[in-house]
Amino acid sequence: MDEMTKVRELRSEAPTPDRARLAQGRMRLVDAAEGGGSAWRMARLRRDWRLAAAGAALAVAASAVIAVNVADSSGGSDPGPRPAASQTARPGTAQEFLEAAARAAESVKGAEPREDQWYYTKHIGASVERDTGELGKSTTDEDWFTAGSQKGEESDWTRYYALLKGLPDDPEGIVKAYQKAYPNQFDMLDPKKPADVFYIAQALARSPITPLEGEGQAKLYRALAKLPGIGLVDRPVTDAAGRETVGITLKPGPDDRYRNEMLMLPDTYQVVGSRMVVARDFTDNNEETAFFPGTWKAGDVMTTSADLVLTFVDEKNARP
Amino acid sequence: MNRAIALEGDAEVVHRSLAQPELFALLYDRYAPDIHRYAARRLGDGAADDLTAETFLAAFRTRSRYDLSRENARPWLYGIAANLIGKQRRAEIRGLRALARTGTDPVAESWVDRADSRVVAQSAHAPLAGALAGLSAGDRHVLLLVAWADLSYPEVAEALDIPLGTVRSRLNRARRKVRSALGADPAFVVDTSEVAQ
Repeated sequence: MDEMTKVRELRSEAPTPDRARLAQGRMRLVDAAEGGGSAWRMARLRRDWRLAAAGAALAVAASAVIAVNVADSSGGSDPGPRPAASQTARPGTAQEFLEAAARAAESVKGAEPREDQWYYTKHIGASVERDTGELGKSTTDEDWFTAGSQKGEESDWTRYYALLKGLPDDPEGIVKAYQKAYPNQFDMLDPKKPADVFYIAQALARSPITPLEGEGQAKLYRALAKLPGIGLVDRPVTDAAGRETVGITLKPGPDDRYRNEMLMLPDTYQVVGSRMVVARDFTDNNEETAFFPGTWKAGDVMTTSADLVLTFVDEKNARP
Repeated sequence: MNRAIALEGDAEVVHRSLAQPELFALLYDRYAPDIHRYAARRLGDGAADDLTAETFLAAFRTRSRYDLSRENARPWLYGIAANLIGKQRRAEIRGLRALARTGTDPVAESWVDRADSRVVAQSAHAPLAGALAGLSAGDRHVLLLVAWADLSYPEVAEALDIPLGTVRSRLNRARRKVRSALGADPAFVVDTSEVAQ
């Protein structure tokens, strides 16, 4: 063996990053290329359901190690706490539903994961395909994130957990708190814009860690309830996993082409998915600038994603 | 079909991105995985995220100076990445010296589950790590662009903006030092298959 072979072997097991891992860097580039438009950047993130699903987890674990498509293995621990089932029928307004969800959440205090654990997520979803203009076949993605710290640094989940405990009550303050804690990741959000509050609150309410800190989860729900234009989707929404859910959405502005829906189970109030839906009829055939080129009708679903599993496991690549 | 996807050559992408900046993301999609992995091998998985993003941002901002006769943008991007890595030279050397001293690689720890800590115990690489830490920054760049990024000699010259002869002399010097550290005869460093590139 010559010395070049030895050099080539050193750290040769370094992983090639997957798309979710590279998403933040791509967004920074696209943002620079397009002049920093936050709406554009967020919409780009949502265009692919996998990035939308990964977004929440990425947001709370900037240096998380993500692995996909690994060999089968077994093991794992309990998914953790879930709010008790609701005794009431579906409330009539978004405010009532979110308040009921907040009350169910704030009583929850789960066990914190150990430093050496991983959190495992499995999502299912579909996005509109350019060729057909219709939702593609549903696919699943699996990720493993580090729960513990890396090389003695403060762990991301510990930092996030502390942030949840100290969340303020007002929507604007919640966005500012996240911006302060993660200065490079939420700088594109405007705390005064309801759509930005909705985006971050629903994404974080869906993260695997948030339900462990019930009071923080409750504050997210109550912040959503305070947003002007918050409402329930007027009929049950079937999520990407086939479950009947309650959709929470913001009334779109006159210029908005799309609206986003946060999907919650009606009995446990657990946030289990999201959809991006066309808000009004429009046509845009500019294939280089439109998120989804084509002619669209209000109600068309552009992306849908649902959580199948969110849980802590003891080993990387382990499944519960 | 998205016309952007129909663009084939890197130079065409760079050229068209002057008028349509968003097209530059095509280069990210093509090369970010390789740049990220290269940066991770040199500095660790966490540092690679920022370094990859900054490499492409720097490339985007200087794209008007890109030599459009160069069809392949890989060397250009690796050159920018190498320059950014060079700014973290102390951190890189610290990692290599830790491996040399302890037989455990803190850089590999950044991507290996600690449950598999035996994987990062790489005492066999300790002398090599010590040798890499002892190289000059310029020699280390050349050696690792050849060994880890699989750049040819002309591509390394392009990446680092140095003459081809300098690439050869730096690589020979680096290989001689590495071979010496590995206990072999430094006189036998010349490898025709490498020099022929």
